Amino acid sequence: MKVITIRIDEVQYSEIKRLVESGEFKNISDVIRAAIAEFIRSRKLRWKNREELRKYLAKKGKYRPSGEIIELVRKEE
Amino acid sequence: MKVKIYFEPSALFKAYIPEKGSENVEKILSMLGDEIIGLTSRWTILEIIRGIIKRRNLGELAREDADDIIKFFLYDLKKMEMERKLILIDVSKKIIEGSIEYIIKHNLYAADALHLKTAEIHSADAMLIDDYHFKRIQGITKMKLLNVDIDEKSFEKELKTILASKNLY
Repeated sequence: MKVITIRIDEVQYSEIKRLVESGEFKNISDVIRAAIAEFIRSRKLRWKNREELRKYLAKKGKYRPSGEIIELVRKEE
Repeated sequence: MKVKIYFEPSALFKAYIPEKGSENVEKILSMLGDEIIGLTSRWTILEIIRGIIKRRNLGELAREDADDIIKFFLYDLKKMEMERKLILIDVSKKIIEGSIEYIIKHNLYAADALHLKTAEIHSADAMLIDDYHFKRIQGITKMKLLNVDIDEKSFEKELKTILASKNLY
């Protein structure tokens, strides 16, 4: 494990502390590690947001309504 | 007090596929946080992923696209959950037992019953649903159903009514 030191503003620090106090994370390092992991994961995705994904798919073709697809899935269940 | 909106998979799926109703679903997703909190069952994850694979099997999506959409979908859900915009509800014994009545009395599919009961047990103010499933469960529940396939203006009007019921509009 490498040790790094960062400076953050008061608002961000309070938010991180709140996450630890709520019991969701064990300590501040855990919050920072989770945030870095999410950042790295998001950089690997092909689309930045849902709108970008829908625009990409709209150019590629037409799609059956989601309700129809979900119905087919439920018939399998 | 926040308004709780339950996302039925037939509605949530539209946020990841361009089709009728996508903009209405996106509108609600973009409002999650301060005044509105989203709810859905963890079962929704499986149904939507199976739905993406189904679209691949039907030739609508290329294999590579389907794989990347699944990755994006899981990331997006996790992000909304971490930002406290969406609550993913575990399938519990109470939900399963409550769903049985809907299957026996109303002849619903297991998943239809499970989503309806999950939303009711967690006191959702409304359920977002597509037109097809809206017609099927309309009249079965007292919960407000919000059909995402209606035009954007009518949808906004319906949404305002729900927010107003909690003095948020």
